[in-house]
Amino acid sequence: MIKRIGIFLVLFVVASIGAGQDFKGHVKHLNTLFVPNPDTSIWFLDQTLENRLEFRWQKYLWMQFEAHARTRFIYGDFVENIPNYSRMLDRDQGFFDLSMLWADRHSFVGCTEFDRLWIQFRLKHGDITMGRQRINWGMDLTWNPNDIFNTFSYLNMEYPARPGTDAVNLKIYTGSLSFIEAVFQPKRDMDSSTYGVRWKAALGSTEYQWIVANMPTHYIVGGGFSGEIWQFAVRSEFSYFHSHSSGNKNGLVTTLSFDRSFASTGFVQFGMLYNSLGSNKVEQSFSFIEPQVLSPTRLSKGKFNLMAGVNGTIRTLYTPSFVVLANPIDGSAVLIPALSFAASDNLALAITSMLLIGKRQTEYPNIGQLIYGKIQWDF
Amino acid sequence: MKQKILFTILWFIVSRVVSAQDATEIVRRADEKMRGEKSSYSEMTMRIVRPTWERSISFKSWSKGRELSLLYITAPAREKGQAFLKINHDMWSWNPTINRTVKLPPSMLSQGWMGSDFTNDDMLNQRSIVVDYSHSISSEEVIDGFDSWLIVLNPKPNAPVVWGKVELWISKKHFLILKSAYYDEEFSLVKTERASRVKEMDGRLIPTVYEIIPADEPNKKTMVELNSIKFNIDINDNFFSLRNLTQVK
Repeated sequence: MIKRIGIFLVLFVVASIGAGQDFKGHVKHLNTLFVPNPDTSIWFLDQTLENRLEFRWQKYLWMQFEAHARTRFIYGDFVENIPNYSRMLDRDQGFFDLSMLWADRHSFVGCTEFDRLWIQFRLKHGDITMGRQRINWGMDLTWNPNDIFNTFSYLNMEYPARPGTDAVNLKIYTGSLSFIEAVFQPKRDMDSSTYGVRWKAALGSTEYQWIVANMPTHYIVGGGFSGEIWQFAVRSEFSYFHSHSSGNKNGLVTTLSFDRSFASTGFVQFGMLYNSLGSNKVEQSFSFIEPQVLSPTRLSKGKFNLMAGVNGTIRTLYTPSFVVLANPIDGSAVLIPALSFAASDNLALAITSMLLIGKRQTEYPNIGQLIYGKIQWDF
Repeated sequence: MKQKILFTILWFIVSRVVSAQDATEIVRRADEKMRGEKSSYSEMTMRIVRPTWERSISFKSWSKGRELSLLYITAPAREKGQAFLKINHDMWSWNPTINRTVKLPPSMLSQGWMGSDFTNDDMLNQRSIVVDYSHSISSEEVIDGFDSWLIVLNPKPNAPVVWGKVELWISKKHFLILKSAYYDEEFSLVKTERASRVKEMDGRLIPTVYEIIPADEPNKKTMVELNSIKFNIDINDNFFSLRNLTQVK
């Protein structure tokens, strides 16, 4: 593995120096405080230093190469008290293992991973992209049952880039607003691979898509649209999952949301999710540490989820926001108040809380409260 | 006597129609002067100025006719790579971090673009001032030494615009929009735009600095400086597509 990482690092550095065309990144310090409930244990305080490097190389119009590396150094109470913390950090879900644990001690860990590493060839009417890439099939803003290659948890708020997928992606453009996309995400054996086709087009002011795909567990037929009603944007996605085997259930996951801006800087959104594969009585506990969703069938643990969010900008620099995710059946909810401050063109500060208010054995049980403090410098 | 009254009424109607046509033609010529008769490409820097701080954003912009435009942010690092596309009245944004295009709701037209005093409508919805409003010459004034017409724009019924009224001061000699005043639906002044530093770029005399001052907060302003511009570039309609929104640099 180290050898493999080494090869890519060399490739990365050589490419950067030799033909450095476009380069950006950030350095971030994230302070994570977890106050457990009941208050019988210690408060957990973790510090994360994160560096992200994004390199783009395009010497010819017909070819582009991108490599993004994310390096984290984490120390504190989570690292000390959670068993196998470093293994969880170093878990690479891709075809290639592109993550490397370069420090692994009792109280600190260090990890570097490539979450983008792809090459794209541009043809007259299409593109072919190979390597680790973000394949985003979502149309809705909170939950994306169509986003089968990079399913993510809305609550993983400190990783907006999201993990990449090792895949081959062929996109054929059939018009200025329409295309057909075929994606193959290989695994070591064919049964574990995921592949699918998406057709996206527009009709008037409404854009829509259809997807057909095969996951290791299910066949999928789905679709989505994004349109307008009065001043609101209306977005929706649905995916029907048909099981390959008797071990998995068939199911439908669907969303509907409305959003609009108001005044000169405000934005409000409402969304709902129905997941027939969810449970009316959630028993599995919620995890604060790197919340991950590995399948679109698990976008929620319960059958229904509701979302409401509002944000705005005050004096251009301050952006307060407030989001509520709730399970209306078990009455649990997570409240996410946040405030960010643009201290300069490239320096940002933010504080975000995740406040759980559910009872035990609900979707959002009050196991404690989480507060993030962040300072980020972009370059 | 009857004939005289009839002639007076006829003259009044004809002169109004001719005046409206003239006003529309003046606005059309002024609009084309800045955007090119067919297309244009420009590089600009926007400065958001407040009493205690400043922020700046640099971007490239392509437009063709009044229906197509594409905008790509080049600085600062945090926003670099974001792009915006407008086709007719529909708008999309591209965020390279999440690799996704998002169709913007129509209510976004009146939102400030990137925290500035310019709205999305100002930045992208360029067909507006010629197509969506009716025009009339109100008076004549001298602006920064230029003899100018004051032209009043009223929105046409059901036009998808955000202003209740717009006033434009357009120079008679070079058809330069030197000053604009934007009013809300209650006809209260919302903001004033001043254009200055008139100089020749790509063979035509144009203002190169634009300054917007909100009416209720005169100590704030947003300035846009035109670093370079090319008029009537050879650009295909296909350039303004979802594909290029994600690939333009």
